[in-house]
Amino acid sequence: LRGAFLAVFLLAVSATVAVSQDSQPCPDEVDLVLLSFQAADAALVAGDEETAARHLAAAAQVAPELIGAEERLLLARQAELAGNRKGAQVQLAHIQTLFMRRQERPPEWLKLKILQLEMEQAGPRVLAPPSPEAQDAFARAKTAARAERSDQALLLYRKALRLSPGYVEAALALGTLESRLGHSPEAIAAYRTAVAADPDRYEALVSLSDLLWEEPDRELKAESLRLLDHAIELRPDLLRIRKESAERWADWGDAATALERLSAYRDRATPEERAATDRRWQQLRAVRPDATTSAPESSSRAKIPFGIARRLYEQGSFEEALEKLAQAERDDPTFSPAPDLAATIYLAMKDDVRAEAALRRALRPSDVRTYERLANFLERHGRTADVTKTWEDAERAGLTKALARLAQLQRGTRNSVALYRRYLEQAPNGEFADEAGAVVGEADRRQRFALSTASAVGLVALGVLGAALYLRLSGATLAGWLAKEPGQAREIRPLVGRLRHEVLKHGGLLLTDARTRLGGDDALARSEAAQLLASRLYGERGLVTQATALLDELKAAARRRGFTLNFRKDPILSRVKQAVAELKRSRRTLEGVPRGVSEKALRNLTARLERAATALNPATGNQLGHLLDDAASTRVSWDDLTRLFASAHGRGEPPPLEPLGFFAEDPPASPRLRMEPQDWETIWRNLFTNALHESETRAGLALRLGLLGERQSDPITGQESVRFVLADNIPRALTADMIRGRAAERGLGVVADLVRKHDGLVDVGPPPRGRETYLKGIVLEFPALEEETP
Amino acid sequence: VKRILIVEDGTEYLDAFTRLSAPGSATFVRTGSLAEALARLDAEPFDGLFLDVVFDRTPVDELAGDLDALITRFGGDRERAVRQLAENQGFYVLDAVAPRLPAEFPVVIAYDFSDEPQRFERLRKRVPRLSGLPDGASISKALELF
Repeated sequence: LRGAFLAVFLLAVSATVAVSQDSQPCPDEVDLVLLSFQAADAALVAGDEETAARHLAAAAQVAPELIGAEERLLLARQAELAGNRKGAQVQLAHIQTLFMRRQERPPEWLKLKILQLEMEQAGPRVLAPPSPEAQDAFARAKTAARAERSDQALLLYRKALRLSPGYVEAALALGTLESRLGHSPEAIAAYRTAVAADPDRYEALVSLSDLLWEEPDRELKAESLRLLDHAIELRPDLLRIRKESAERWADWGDAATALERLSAYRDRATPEERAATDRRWQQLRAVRPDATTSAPESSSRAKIPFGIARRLYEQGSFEEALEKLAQAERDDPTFSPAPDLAATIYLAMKDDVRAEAALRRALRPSDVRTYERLANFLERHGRTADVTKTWEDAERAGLTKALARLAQLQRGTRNSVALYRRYLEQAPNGEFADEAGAVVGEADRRQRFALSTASAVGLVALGVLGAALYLRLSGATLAGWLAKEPGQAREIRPLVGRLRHEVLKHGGLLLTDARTRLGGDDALARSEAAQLLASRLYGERGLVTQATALLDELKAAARRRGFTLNFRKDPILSRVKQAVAELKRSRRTLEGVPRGVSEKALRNLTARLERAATALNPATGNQLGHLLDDAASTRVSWDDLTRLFASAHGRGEPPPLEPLGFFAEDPPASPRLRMEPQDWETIWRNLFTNALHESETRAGLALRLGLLGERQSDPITGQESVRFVLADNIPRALTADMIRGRAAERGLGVVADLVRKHDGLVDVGPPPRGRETYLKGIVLEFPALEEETP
Repeated sequence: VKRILIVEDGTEYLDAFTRLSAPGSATFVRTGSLAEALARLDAEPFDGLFLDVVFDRTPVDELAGDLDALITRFGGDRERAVRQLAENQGFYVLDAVAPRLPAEFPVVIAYDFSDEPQRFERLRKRVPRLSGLPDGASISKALELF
């Protein structure tokens, strides 16, 4: 009856005011103001805020001082809905002034709203990170909120926002708390602040959209739809908000858009999810296109009992409030604010069981806050498994914070870092940004360290490998060196001779039967053998000492010629080197044998000694000898000698050079001498040139030369040599002394030097037997390599 | 048990043979020069002769061989002549003792003739039971040569 009376009264007043505004201005402004107020009140009672605001605005034009805070708030809201942010800001500023006149502190949300409007007017801008003081206040607010100290939490969240007006996390948290406490306008204001600071913040968009959708104002619902669409753009992967969007567009009355949203949802939904929406799908498809804009707006039946319950709760009448909330839930089981507020009340009553049940009933995929609240509750009760599941649900519902909370729960795992990383991507300045940044940074640092360590290890390995390869491949082998400098074979022959004798021969004698000698049962014999081996291997003239010294001398000889010998890659000397290394490693054990060593040590020792003996095998010495001979030997060739003679003579037919001795054989013998071919040729070129020159000084002398070659051997050592006699018919005297240095002007000094260099002999003697037509003979003798003529 | 006369400038071979040969296989007597070796051979019965080759620790005047002839041969180069004697002393000792040894008397010289078979054969004409000690041969292998 009262409602009907009010409606009639409203209609009457509205008609009166409309007539007065549209026709002549009323001379009595006071009456007009009064009428405007009455009309506004009537419109408000009827739920028409827009009309009420229009009347109030008219009244404010005439008597602004009569407009109270609530009316200003209505005007601000309408101005904002109309896109007039400046107007809304002016109205809110009036409210601030009213509080100040009453010497009361304006509510925090009012300041925040003014700031938000300022920011929205200024357009998007980059907000500075929250100050440390703001962060501190925020942290303390969170602590208070978790402890259900809501009043303190609200104060601290607001303080954080006052200190850093663009503090999105604080605004979000404040919105969540205000919403939980049933303070929808304040929650909306807080979420608006968050959206203003970060227009792409998914949680803020969805939360604000949810709250606005619950409002009866159609414009707010329209804004809710826009916000949800923007959220879908940001998180196209979240199917639930597509479905929610479809439902809202359908409720809004736009079946076409709803159908489009639902289609997008069904395209990516599971078969079960598709089946669940089939009915809605069919309904939307059945709606005629022209009917889409005239569908009635929805309004939950639960709102009235919920509003009553909210007031009862604020008055402290918990039981009554719970009754009303139960009614709200019965009226609309999908109206989540009812069980949400019920949970708050149960928590205040310390009834955790019912609180949890209410929180679970309040869960809505479209309202991420419900998951957060349940998760926080479960966390306080140590329900880790349930907490994880709830945060996972929240994450699927699109709650960015859930990523950080899940990461915390899984801290120390690789997945935790991935979750923190996702959180940072979605909320770079989020509540857990510092923590997530630290974890991700540390993980990245470790990864970089691991990579750099791996790289360093790789580089070291490469370095080691490179060094090993360098050691293995760099430098020259003995054969390589001698191939380039065959003349050095003669220089190092004494070193190689000593190596063969002192190391290879003695090594064989000492080491070959090492196992037999050291493995016997006679301890005394074993001890004596060990002592002998130790003294012969490691003493001043010991095998190891000498081998090391000889190898060093070889290296030094090569180095003097600009070559670096690499024994590691030398197929022959590497064996010597290996043997020396084995013997060096054997020293301690070998010297310990007289005092007694273990069986294992003895076995290792004999194995080492045997390996050394194997390395110092007879082939090693022979190969060394062959190497030197191959590098610096000359095969004597009659043809080569005649060519040399012709070359020394120059143009024209050279004098006859008679082959004698094995040169006269058919075919001529061709022994091999330990001498480089170059020295060999130099000797003969000088001898031939000298003979030709001498003959030219003798007028009328028809030069005749004979060259004898014959093998011979040393009667004592048995060593083979080759004797050459260059016979001539030149009457000039020539003595051995002249050849050995005092006839240098005739090139013979060079010959003498080369002969001496190659351990040969040079002399002057009679012509070969039976060849007395020659006057004398220059005798040369060189050591020969024992080899049959091929 | 064989008795082996070892001629070497040091005691390496003696030590090795004595301590490393199988017990009871042989006894060894060492001399450091040709003169001493000849004296021993005249005075005592031996079953074999072992000759080192290089005697670079032996005083020049104790080296076997005609140093003067070598100096002449090498054109007055005494150093070379001494080196020739020292580095081949075993052969000079062998040359000196060969006429006194029975044909069947085994002589082992510490020289590897594997590359010089003709040289070895030339020497064997004078000492039929001559053996060269190959590089790497063991004590037991060396003793088998006697």
